[in-house]
Amino acid sequence: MAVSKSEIFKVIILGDGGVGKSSLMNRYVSDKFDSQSFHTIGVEFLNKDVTINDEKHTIQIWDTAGQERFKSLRTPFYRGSDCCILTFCLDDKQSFINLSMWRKEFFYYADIPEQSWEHFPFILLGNKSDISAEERAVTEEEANQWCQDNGKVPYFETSAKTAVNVSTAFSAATERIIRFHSSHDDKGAQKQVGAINLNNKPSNKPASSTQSCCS
Amino acid sequence: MIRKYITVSRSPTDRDLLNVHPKNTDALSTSFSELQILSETSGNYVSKFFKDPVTATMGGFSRVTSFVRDNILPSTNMLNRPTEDYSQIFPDITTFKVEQDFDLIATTENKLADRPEVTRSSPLTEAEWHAFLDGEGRVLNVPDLKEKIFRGGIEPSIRKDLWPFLLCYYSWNSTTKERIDSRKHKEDEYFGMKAQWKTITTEQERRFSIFKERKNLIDKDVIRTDRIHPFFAGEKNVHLDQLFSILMTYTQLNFDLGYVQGMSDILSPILLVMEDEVDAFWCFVGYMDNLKLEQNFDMKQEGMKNQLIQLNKLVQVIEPELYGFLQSKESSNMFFCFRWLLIHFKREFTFEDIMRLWEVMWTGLPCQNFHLLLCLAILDGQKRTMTEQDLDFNDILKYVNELSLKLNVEEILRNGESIFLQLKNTPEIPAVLWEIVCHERRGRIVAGLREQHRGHRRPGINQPPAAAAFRIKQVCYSSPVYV
Ligand SMILES: Nc1nc2c(ncn2[C@@H]2O[C@H](COP(=O)(O)OP(=O)(O)O)[C@@H](O)[C@H]2O)c(=O)[nH]1
Ligand SMILES: [Mg+2]
Repeated sequence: MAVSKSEIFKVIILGDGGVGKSSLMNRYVSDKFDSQSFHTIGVEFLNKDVTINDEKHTIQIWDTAGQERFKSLRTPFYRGSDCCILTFCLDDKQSFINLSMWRKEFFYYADIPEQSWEHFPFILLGNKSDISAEERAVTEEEANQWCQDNGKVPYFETSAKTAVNVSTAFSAATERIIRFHSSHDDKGAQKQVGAINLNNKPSNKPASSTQSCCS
Repeated sequence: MIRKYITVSRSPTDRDLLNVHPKNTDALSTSFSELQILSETSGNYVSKFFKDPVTATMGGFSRVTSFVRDNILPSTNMLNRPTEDYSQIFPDITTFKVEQDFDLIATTENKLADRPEVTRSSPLTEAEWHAFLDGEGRVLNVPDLKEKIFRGGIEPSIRKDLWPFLLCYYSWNSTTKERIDSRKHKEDEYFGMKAQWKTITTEQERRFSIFKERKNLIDKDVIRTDRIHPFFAGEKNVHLDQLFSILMTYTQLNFDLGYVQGMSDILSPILLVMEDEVDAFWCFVGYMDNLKLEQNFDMKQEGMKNQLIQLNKLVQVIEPELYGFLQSKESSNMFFCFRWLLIHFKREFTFEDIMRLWEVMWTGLPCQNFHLLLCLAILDGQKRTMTEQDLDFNDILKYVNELSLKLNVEEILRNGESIFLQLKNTPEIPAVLWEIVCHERRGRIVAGLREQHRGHRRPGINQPPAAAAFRIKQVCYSSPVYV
């Protein structure tokens, strides 16, 4: 078997603080859940090797601290992402409301050209599905509606705590990336565009949000 | 001093043309803010600029670039930089080198002094501490006491007595009685501020989004702060409530700053040691205000950016080989040290070790910004592995993140002091470095001296006056930063 360097897919997890981004990453990469974990400071990433259709890929998952104050230190890492996993948690309505803000922030700083917005690989996760029905603040219908309104984003209700749907969601993300790459065989070119275009920011500057959004 | 008077930018009309602008003496900081090294608009001309070394190799700059090429990057082809997107994201602060310091380069060309071995001693004991107090409880001979703490730290059982002094909650020359009186005041003051947020009703909160947001944020972070430590473990732990209350009250005291992530990490060891909400609060305030940790949390993150720049300068001079390596990996912006700086290494050490490291740092010895030298000390211990494994931008970030809890605090403190002594013993310390490590109040005197001598210096060659070099030693050892 020919040894080929596996392709790295860069996946970034975004969403309000406390929705479970770091927990999801750790669940997926190490299959562990630590209820005593720290909140994230700065920027971290983990790699996971996967094989899809006999091809090896490395999923590189980037996790950041989401407080508005650290925005300028976080957003440079968006560039070059192959997929963005937007996350809210099912018992926090505000984290759901803030999704659009996160989506815009991602597009803006990842420098995704507007014509690609529709097709760019996004995944939406509603995390903490293990909570009781009374604690739930966002319904599945609402979440699905959001997905419909934002380019038919696939939606999963996950639990980093119990592992429900976590690997399914990441697999879906990987497949979306592969599909996106094969339909836009200009991945490299697209990144180039971003690289050259640095001075001319797209005009869709996101409204600066005063919402809480920390990791 | 070319760097003082010009700045370089790309011509807007011709991308192969560089404009050299005359600048005022703020050139350095100005061009830095123009670069916005770490901000979202960073990429642009810096990286393009450095993708094209030919452009950089011009006129007065050739010396710098050739120095870099010949001495720092012997094997790195500048044209062959990593093609990853990070080269655009975080342009190396390489430009910095160009418009900045002939001083820096001159010194690296000269040799730095050797790094002497240093020894550390045992922590301050209770008996030793009592010997420092006069009959009324005033602390005698503060410089000796600080030196002792700097050398060995404090025995855990008396940390509670000493930390309030180091954190400027108590003044050294107060009597025991005065401290008891002042504590009463401080207690009232604390509970007054606490009552302010405590009495906000749910109805008010509903229409007070800033408040609600902060409360939420603090709530979420407190339950993710040091929960592995027995002091903060378990559900319904009263210490978590205290963390929450102190942070809420702090945002009341410093409403403009608000709560910023990282503050809970700073507070937790303080609360553990002080074991009292009021005392922990005022010690925390002392750390933020008097010891200026507040700068790490400011709205625009200027304080953090500034420290990354200072660290960059120090690495350039003190670890030129490592610097060359970092540069070749687009990492000389030192972003990978962000967490170290933001919360003063809190996540890198065990509780016991971080308490030791902090109390040593709080003495203000042996110089200002000793924490930056501690960063260098850590890097010194890792540079071999980092370069041998030829880590790239991502790997460096990951490697450094994963150093957490693997570092030896005594070794790093020793090494940090060695680096300080190395600087101190180097006859020609570049001016930019003095400003980083020297006491700011005396800094004016040092700067004054430099002014006098500036006229005698050949442009581009660093010749700090001997008198000033001497003074730096004096300043650094005898004049702690934070008193
Ligand atoms: N019940 C439940 N709690 C979770 C789940 N995922 C994360 N958490 C908890 O939610 C809090 C925030 O998680 P964290 O991963 O730090 O969130 P981040 O700020 O988005 O990275 C932590 O206390 C976690 O233990 C989940 O699936 N279910
Ligand atoms: Mg996190």
